[in-house]
Amino acid sequence: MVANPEDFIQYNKRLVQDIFRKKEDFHRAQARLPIEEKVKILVELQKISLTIHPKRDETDRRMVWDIS
Amino acid sequence: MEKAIQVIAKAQDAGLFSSYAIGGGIAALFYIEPVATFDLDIFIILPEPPSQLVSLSPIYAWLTTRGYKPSQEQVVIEGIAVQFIPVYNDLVKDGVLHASERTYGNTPTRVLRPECLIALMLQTFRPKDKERLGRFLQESTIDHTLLDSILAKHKLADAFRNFKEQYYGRQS
Repeated sequence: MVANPEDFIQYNKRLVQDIFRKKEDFHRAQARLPIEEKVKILVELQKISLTIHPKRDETDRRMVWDIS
Repeated sequence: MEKAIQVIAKAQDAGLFSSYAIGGGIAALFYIEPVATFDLDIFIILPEPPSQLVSLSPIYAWLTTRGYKPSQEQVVIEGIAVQFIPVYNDLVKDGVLHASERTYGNTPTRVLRPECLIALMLQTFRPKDKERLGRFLQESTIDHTLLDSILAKHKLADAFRNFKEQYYGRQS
């Protein structure tokens, strides 16, 4: 429980800094994954992307890779 | 993707191109967090043509005989959408010649170095290049001496300085 407004601001500031630091750590950890693991993630991203933005027509060559 | 890389290596062994390197989004994947991309871009140095006309027809013909049928500028090799792109300027050619030797699974391959990719992003400078540049600066390991020499050689040092000032504030 934080009673003092200044303490509350400082508490929030530290909390936000901590969240941003953890986000950066997560992105750096993802960047260090083996390439083979990254390609598995990429295929999932391809599926998501095609769900959100379906193929427009026959000329749209986007496809989900088959890495099985 | 490993099988696709093996097919590309066989195409090189067959003399269809003298050298190659993975570029684009998949090259970036080697150095930064995964982002969505759909093509495996393969930058190639073609043998000296008898004329100035650059043609990918021999590559497409070779792939077709092996069951990989090109469609527009893309060919699906072992489930992977591949685009062969002849080197189109000195920066890309240098990048292919000095590419990083990597392995995918147990298969050796060649990938444009992060310093070259940064220079290419500064050259093309589309919105996605700007976004990716930021990721490279935060997430990848960069040889700054090599980067400086590439940027100087290809007259991109000012573009890099401007980018950093715009996104990270004036550098001292």
